[in-house]
Amino acid sequence: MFHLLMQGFQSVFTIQIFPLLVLGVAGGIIIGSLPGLTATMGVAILLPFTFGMSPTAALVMLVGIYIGAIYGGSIAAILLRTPGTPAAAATVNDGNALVRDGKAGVALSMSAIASFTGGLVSTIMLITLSPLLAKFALRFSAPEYFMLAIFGLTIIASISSNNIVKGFIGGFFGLFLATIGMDPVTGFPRFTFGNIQMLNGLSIIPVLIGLFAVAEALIQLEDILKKQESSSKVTNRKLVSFRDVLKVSPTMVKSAFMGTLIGCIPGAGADIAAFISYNEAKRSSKTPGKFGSGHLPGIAAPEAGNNGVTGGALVPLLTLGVPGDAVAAILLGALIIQGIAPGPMLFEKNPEIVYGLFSSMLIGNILMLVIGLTCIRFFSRIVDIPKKLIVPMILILSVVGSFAINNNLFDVFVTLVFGVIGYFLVKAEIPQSPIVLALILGPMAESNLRKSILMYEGSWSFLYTRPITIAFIVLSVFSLVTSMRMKKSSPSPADG
Amino acid sequence: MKNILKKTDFWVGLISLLLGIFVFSVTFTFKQTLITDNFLGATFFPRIISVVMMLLSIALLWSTFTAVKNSSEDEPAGDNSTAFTIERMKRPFSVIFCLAVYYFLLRLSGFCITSTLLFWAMLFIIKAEKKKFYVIAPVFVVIVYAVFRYLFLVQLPTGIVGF
Repeated sequence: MFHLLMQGFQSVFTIQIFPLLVLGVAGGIIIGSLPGLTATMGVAILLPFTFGMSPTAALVMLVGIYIGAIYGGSIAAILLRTPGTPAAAATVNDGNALVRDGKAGVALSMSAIASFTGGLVSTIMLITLSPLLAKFALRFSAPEYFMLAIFGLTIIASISSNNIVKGFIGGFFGLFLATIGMDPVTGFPRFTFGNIQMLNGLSIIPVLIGLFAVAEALIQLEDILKKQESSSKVTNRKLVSFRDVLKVSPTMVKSAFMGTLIGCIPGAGADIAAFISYNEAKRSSKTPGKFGSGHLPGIAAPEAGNNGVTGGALVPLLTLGVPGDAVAAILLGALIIQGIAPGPMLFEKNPEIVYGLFSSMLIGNILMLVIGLTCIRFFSRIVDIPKKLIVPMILILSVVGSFAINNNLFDVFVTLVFGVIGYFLVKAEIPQSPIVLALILGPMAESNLRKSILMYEGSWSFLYTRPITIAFIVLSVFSLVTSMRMKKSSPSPADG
Repeated sequence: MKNILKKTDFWVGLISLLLGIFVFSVTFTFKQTLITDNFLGATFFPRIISVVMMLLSIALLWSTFTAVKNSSEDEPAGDNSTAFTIERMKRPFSVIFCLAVYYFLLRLSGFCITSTLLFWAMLFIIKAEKKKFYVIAPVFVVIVYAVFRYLFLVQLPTGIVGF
């Protein structure tokens, strides 16, 4: 493993790839710091720029954007009291309280260091856990893959919406979308209505761009005339002291582990990790009353937690082919475009890509820390970029991105239609993530269900006679019941 | 019970129920070949999905009805029904209309001209007053075109004008 990692470093430190990583991290920070632009949207609209690249280069750049954007969300949260991404919502109170005390530099540097810790811990866990999980996943057969898909959908549907039924409706709508096109077994065209463009089914990327970028831009238009809050000028650039960092380091490490584990669960995103980490830090603190008034652990915990997700979300993606969150779903789309199928065989067939990705994540987190600590002065300028200019740019980039996949105007049509659908979904509080995950997992669920039934000669007994499928059923029911109980006691954060 | 029509969840339940019925009924038009003339054919999975979708829709409708029944007539609609007001949706709808026109014009007038017009239209809709935004629009479009055309070798729609 070590020599593969070294090879990964060698491939990243080349003149073709390293600048892309720098560009990705910096671009991600800028996107994340603009209120309203999520990490998912950032990766979706910049995905088309990677089409002409090698698989390693494309993944390195996208992962750089992901890492940067999750951290960038805290900049607007701290300076403007408006989270740049949903994942940074938990950072708002303590971060902005420090800014009001004239300690913007302390808040921003604390956020950068905590994000770095979260990212680093989760990448190390990704590197150590993934090969083991991939070996285990090699034992999977059709029934296990079917139940894995159902498990992923159950979790994402139950945690991504305040209303579980609406989460599941979203998931089943996605499964319906996945059946559009030729039936994988018989070749019979389903729901194509004579349109030959739909024979191969809906392309994932145009749907993703529509649901996440176009829909979000349309939502932004609703309040665009509201006066944009001007940024708090960073008057004091003094960084957080080493002693303070040492004091909060146990909180950071604990939150990083929690974020990674939450990220490993298909469907649980950075926003959930940030809130859980924040609550846990507050619960276990000797001074919980200080939280919300500029307390450093109140910044360190959510930031380490949300960046912890970056590595965790890639564990199920790389080992099982199941994305951990919406960004991982886009990365899956990027891999498919490059002709690579994620899953346990990826470690056998394309180790250079996997270890190139691991290395780029380690370096990407270091770059994020360097940029985060050295560019504090410029952050207030970034958050001042007017939305009135950004929204039209996003829409035009969305059109270009969807066209560039196949040089096909039909994909632009799909993007625009799903942009409108996504807009109504957001307004109706139906989460988009289950739809996307179902669209990706649908073919896997369908073909493996049909294979399983054939394997068992028309019986469904594979559901209760195989240990791993039983384990997935138990986990699915457990997650469903737990999230129902949690929702009764408190509303969960919105889908991001 | 008039409040039920103001509930977003009611409409979500109704639309998904109709979608479920539609999907289920369309599966009857799928022709089965002799080899797959059993329950595992092309209709198998869509039918499962549509049935579960209908059940979920009924559950959502039922919970909405129960919630409305338990609340008094004078109570406000609750949930996020204010999200669907004309005031909030007029700008997004104007832009959706522009995007539809843009899609049809793209083949005719090419990416650069159509995208610049779309950009300007959106700036107008969102009442952007700064003149420099209107200058930035064509510059941005040309940069995007050049990056895709010459760096990524992707030929964006050129229309009859050739760019």
